[in-house]
Amino acid sequence: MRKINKKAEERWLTPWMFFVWFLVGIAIVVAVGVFYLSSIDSRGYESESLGNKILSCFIDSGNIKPELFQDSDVFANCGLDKKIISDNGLFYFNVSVYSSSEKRYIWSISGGNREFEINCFLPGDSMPKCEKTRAYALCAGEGYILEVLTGSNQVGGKL
Amino acid sequence: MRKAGSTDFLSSVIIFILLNVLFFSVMFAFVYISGSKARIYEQAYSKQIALILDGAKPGTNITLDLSKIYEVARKEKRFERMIILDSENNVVEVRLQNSGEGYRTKYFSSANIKILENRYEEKLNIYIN
Repeated sequence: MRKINKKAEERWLTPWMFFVWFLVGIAIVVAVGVFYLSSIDSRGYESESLGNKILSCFIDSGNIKPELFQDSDVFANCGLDKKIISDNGLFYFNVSVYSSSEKRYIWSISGGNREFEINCFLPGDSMPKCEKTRAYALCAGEGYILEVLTGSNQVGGKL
Repeated sequence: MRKAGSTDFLSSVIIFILLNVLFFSVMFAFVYISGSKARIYEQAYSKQIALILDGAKPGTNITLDLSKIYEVARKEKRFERMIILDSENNVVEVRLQNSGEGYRTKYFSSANIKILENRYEEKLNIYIN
């Protein structure tokens, strides 16, 4: 009888108990670390926002603004900061115009980090998040397709 | 009168419970101390404001509710300059802690932007021209 009690006593404080605490402690530390060190990824929204901004600047009520093809300063016309887009390598845009009837390439303009043209389609978290938007618009009675590729790789934090 | 065996058993149970309480107290304290919400709110609001600035058209006035970050900032004992707009470098910084740097996000809009913190209503007024 005494022997049974002795076994019961030993179950309370054993090296296994400390080992379990150690595991629980490690799990909590790792979980807290993963939760608080993870970052909010807004790159997709930034790409979308940039694409919308460019499209709305090129198209007005379903018509392409013809002056944009003549004046190449897309930054000033679309309200984009040239220094931020060109110098930091965080953003990219490319606008291509095709004739809708002949599917013929007509004109294009781009700005920002040109590496995104390739990186946009590569997998991985360090690669930029991109958005491809297509819109149909008219110019002098003729139909055109505007293809806008935009990308962002801004992680944020200590810039 | 209790036997020696049962006394040992009782004391080991008490030690076990005390050690458990101590261990989980340390763990809760660790989670509480390391789990400051300030860093998360700094990041979330910095990115949110940058997205708002990027998406807005000139002539827009936007009011953003800041009650949540005021609550966090009060806990961190920070009472001024929580949202800093560096319009020269196109950077929005949200700083809710007195120690360390805040979280910075760049915005690509070239519009003339002004922000005004309304501390009484805990709101941020953004003017885009």
